[in-house]
Amino acid sequence: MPHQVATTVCAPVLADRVGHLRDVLAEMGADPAGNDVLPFGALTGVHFARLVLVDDGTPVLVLTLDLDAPERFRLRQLVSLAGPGLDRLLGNCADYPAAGRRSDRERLRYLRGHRAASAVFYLHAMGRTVEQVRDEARLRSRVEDFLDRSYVGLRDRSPTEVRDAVRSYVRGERSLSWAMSAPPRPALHFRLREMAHLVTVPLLLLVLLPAVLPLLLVWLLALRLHERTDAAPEVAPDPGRLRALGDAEDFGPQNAFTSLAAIKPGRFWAVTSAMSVLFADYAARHVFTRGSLGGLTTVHFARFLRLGPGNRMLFTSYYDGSLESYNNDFVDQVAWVLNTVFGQQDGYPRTRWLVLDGAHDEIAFKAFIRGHQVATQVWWSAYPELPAVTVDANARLRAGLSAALTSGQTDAWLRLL
Amino acid sequence: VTSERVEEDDVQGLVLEGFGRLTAACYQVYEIGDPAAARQWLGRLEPSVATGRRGPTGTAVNVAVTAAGLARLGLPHDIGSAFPQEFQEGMTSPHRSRLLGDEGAAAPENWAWGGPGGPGPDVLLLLYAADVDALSRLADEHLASAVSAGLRHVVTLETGPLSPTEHFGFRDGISQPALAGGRPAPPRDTLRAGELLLGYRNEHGQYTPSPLVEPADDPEGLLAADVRGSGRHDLGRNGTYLVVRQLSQDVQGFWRFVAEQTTDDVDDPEAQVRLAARMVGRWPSGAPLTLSPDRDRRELADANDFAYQADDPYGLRCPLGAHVRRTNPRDSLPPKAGTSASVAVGKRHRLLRRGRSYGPPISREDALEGRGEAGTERGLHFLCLCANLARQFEFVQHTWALNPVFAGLYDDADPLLSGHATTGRTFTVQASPVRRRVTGVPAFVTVRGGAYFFLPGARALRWLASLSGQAPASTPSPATSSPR
Repeated sequence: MPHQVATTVCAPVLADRVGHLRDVLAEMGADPAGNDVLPFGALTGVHFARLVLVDDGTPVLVLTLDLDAPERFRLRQLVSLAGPGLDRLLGNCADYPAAGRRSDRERLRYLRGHRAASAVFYLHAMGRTVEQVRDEARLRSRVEDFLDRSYVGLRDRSPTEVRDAVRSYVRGERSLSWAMSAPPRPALHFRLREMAHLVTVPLLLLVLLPAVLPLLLVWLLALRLHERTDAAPEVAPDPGRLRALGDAEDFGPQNAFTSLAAIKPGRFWAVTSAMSVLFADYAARHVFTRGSLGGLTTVHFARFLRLGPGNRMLFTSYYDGSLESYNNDFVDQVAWVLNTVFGQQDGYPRTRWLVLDGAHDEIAFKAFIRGHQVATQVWWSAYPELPAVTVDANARLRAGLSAALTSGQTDAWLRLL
Repeated sequence: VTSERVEEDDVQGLVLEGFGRLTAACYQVYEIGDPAAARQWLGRLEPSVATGRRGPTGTAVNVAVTAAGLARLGLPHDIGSAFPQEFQEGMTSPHRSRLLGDEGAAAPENWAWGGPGGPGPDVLLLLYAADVDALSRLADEHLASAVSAGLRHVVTLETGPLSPTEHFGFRDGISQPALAGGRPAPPRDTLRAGELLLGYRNEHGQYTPSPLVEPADDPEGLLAADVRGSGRHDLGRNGTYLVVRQLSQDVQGFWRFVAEQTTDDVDDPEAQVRLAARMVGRWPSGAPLTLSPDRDRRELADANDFAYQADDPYGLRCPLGAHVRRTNPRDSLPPKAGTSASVAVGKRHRLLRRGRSYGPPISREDALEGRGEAGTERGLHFLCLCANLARQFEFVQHTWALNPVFAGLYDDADPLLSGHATTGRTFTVQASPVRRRVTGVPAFVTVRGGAYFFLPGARALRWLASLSGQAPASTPSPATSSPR
């Protein structure tokens, strides 16, 4: 099974084409799945997609895709399905091939040439493909219906007997029998690469410790100094902007969030931002990989991306529930994570030793989040009706069909249903 | 919990008590016609507004104003825009409707009052009296006074005789938060004053943003100084937000659905009440299912000392999706259920409920047999108070009540409140080895009107009455800082 890839295309927009581009984005935003420009619903292996026009002086069109690998194949499919649409969209951007020279090859070359690497890429569960998510949702729905029908006959049985009944139902349904085996894991080369990264980074740190330690102490002192003395300005979001952002939210269980903020001025914060990115990248790849971001179970995909000119950080995420609940989760549960990865951004509430305070200041944190949020003109989800906790539960349901379970595990498995 | 001393004399009585001994009540909604006359009316009204813990003295009057009403009274835009977004937007914006599940028949377009295009609502008068006759006199008196001041009467929300039982037949209003320093309550229910009033520290240890006024705009010094030390005066202090929602209840529909789900051939009243109690989370007497899963026990009617993670983590006694379990999850919240951290998170999402029922009561038996006038309107005028509409009322409604995956559920929104939503129409009764699902749960409750009001302190009322109607030279002053 393929692993997942964060693809980002950053295309500088021609100054005189911004208005026209906005029209195209509005047309797409009205029907992200089926629009004539780039019908995301026709693509395979794409979990989420978004288009954001960053327009604060030097306009840039950002396309983000959360893909099942291989990326090369997905981009080729995109070009072959939506070539003329890509022309309408990217024809407003600098360096896009001129009208006479547009071929799928040239379009692909443009997309690949304008890719930008994510600084950090978080995903809810590595290795789970779009197909798997959708299939397991179907499995869940069918098993729930089966239990509804069989309730009277099953309620007086033992847990093991109920599980066996579910297993034999699934085994007997040709369209579900795939669920009796575990999903394949990501390719060996990917797993080896990740394992190498998992081990190498701490080893390298250990080896360099004698050299790094004094520097770290200096950095810590500088950190405290900056934290105490740097201004932490109050941000009061404009009501009109808040209204416009809210008007685009909460149509279904999932929402898309985009924010853009400058890193605080000065070398110190640039270095700290680089360190935070290294830390967050490592944590996202090796620690927060089991459907939970330090206890948070509502984020599907997220990424940080450095955006020029200037040292700005673009953050994008897909989350379940309202922005209010997303923020409350941050404040109540994982403030230290937010402090670590957002604490270097301009306007962030004052932190202490990087991880303390900061997002614990509920009012300033919420004002920071809304204050730096920018509109997401177009976004699309391959499974818009599925909250991440349901995706997880569906995967556990499937896994428990074929695994050997103890009686305690059988009880827990039945509680999924 | 360190408790700040609440300036009770400046706080409208509804925050401190439900006026329970004043068993008759009605709520009059007005639209402001003539701002100057309305301010004079408010100035005349203010001395009679019940504040503090006077105890009921025959009658009580409280008054609240919407964002539109504040603007019509002449509150300058730059001060009004320092109120939180959700209050300024009001309950009926499309975004708010999505958050609150006000869709389909419950959409604001179909409301009897408060919907788009209708008059007002600008001002709400809450009137309480010891009996129906006294209330009638009080209501007439206030109606005449308001109308003579150019206020247009939008609607009067009548309430029935005060009863502890709501129309589906269940005792209501048992679990209420208490202000720290006020009536003794278990720590889990005791909130810092800032959760229920502006101008005090909340459960984050912060002051919720409050609209501030330049000293020049308060030359008589009517308002209290901003406790944050900004040097400005605090229009919000001792005030709070009042949510009003008229919730129409289809009692016949409720019991008929429950009967269909529990009956093969013959009626089984016990099974009906058992399923209904599972949807509610308490028995008709109020006894919690968590303490008595199999039968109603009147001796537990007031019992409120229980926890879900500790007593019933998997919903085998009180289903995970039951109304009371999801609107007050007690100790079952992240970051770790069953810990004090979980309880601390829960305390940031509490509501002080002050609603009363309206319309004639009807028993389960009569409802099932179609006795009683067809189409009789009955329900609950749901009133609740909180200092942060987004983090408290809207969060409870959206993230807990209407969330189909609350507490690991699959497609279960609140069985009582979410009938007009398109998803979550399932109710699951957890059991071992296999759960029972009730699917296709219809709408039993329909919103028929509502608004977000600001319930100012007495000094703030005096200041509002003193507005000149010309925009004073203020600067925007949202209070976003807070000493920790």
